[in-house]
Amino acid sequence: MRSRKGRRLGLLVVFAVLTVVSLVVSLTEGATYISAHDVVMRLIAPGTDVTSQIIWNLRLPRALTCALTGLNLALSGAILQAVMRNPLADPHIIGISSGAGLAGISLLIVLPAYTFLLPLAAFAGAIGAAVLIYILSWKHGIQPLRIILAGVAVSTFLGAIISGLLIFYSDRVHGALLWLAGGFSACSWHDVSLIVPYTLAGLLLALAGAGSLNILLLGDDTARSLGLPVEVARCLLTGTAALLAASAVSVAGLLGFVGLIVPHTVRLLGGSDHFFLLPGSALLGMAVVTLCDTFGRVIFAPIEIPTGIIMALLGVPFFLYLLRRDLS
Amino acid sequence: MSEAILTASHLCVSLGGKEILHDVSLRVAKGDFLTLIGPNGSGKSTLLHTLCGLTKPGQGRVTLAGQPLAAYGRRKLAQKIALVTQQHTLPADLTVYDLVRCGRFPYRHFPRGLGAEDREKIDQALLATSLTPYAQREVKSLSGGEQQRAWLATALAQEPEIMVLDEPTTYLDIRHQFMLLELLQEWHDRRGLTIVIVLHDLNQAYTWGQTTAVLAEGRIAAAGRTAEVVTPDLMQRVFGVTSEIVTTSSGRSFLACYPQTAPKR
Repeated sequence: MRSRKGRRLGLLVVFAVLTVVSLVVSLTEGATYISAHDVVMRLIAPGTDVTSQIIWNLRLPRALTCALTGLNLALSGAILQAVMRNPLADPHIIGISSGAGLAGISLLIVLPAYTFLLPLAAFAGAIGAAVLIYILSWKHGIQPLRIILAGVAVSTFLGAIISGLLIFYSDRVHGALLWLAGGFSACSWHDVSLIVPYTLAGLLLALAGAGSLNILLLGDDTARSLGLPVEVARCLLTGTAALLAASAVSVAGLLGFVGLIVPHTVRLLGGSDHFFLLPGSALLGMAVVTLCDTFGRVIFAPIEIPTGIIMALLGVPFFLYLLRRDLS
Repeated sequence: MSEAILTASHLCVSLGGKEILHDVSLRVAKGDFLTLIGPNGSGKSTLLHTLCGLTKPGQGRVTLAGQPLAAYGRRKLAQKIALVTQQHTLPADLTVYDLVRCGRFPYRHFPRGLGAEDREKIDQALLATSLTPYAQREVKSLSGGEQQRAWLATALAQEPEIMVLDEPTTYLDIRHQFMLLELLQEWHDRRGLTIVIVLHDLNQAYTWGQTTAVLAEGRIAAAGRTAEVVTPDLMQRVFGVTSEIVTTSSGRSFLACYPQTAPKR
């Protein structure tokens, strides 16, 4: 028991260090290189010079937005995988993100003046999609395969509507297009303040539900006989996952695969106990998205590759690897 | 007969529009060892689930110590009744210790984790099932018999008054079947645990039961003292098999079932 616990604790420390490193790297790299030493000095004592401006007004809000988005999506995926008892569950794949995206796009097109309502609209869309998936896949209880198929169907359906909207309103959707691709260009403190409350609430709710998530893995009948109100727990946890995913979508657009790659990596390394998996996913999610964003900014500078593209290029091979591993 | 701990009265249960149980009444006495038998599809699992409060009956009700199940709430109920289900799902990397720890879930105190008492109960449950050396092994890496013992340990850690088991001997070889039943017998005798168990082997139901209930097509065909219920006549009627009560030279009696076409040796 000691060794397993020690290993998990060690992994959490590694993930935390990785997060800090990725945040520092994202602050040093960019159009002008700023040394790590300068970054740290400016963070401790902000000045009025250009370097301070770059760090405090451009790079720090962007880095924080990336980190929080990664945290939200990874946590959302980890929760959904347990709640739906399906390793392929991820807010992007099962359509929760599409629901948030559709609601967001509709808002941007119909009421462009009310952009500040984006998280609310996205949350409503995410919950709507989650409910739709449950209704479609409910037949004498939840079946893991049915829920994933219903999710893929919902995701495709909503995706089609989004594409349709983009064609019909092509004059109004330039901003929406960028938003959908999943990226962090032009992130500001506004985005950070937008996502922080949802992240905190989601994180607390998720950690409070860790014990219930562990019990859910034993199947509905056993979970119920152990005293877990399964339906209530499932609704609350899905709601938490939708909240996390929606707030991420509202600032970063449709950023795929974080919710899939990160929890699975953490699970492969340290196991599926949610008291480890949830904090592990949260930390690694922050690191991965921040690094991918930095990578996208730097590799073809001055052209910026949206983080969503980098994530997909990394995510799809991993997804295929998982599929092969689970099928065999 | 001692007082009833679990009583089902006039249960009707439908699943997906099909009526599975029709007017089922059953009385489980405190400290009973009740074996439940019946052909495939006769509603045994549904009856167990209804007795545990997992399935709500359309009509009729189940009472535990005189109170309807609904009056207890999930958590209180889980401290009284433990269920060992027929099919188990669990993550591949779950250790025996972590599984048994789940048995303490009904006693959780949020946000505090495991208390000293919880740890003690887990250790006792591991000891009672001879799984202490396997505590840190992954459940899925164990043999079928050991895995089943891990689930028994989980149910024991729940400290229930009643343990309900759905065909726990399926897939086990004969020695492990006996080991499991002996373990339950010991808990029944020493701890006063009430046992309700579905068994497929009619002789085992005959051998281990104090009382037996026979379910056929969603109705109770017979219930009462095992020796009076498990008779060749009823087995013929319910299962369509020929059987005989055989007494060995050592004075033990068994129910031997055999097909009429069996060659004589």
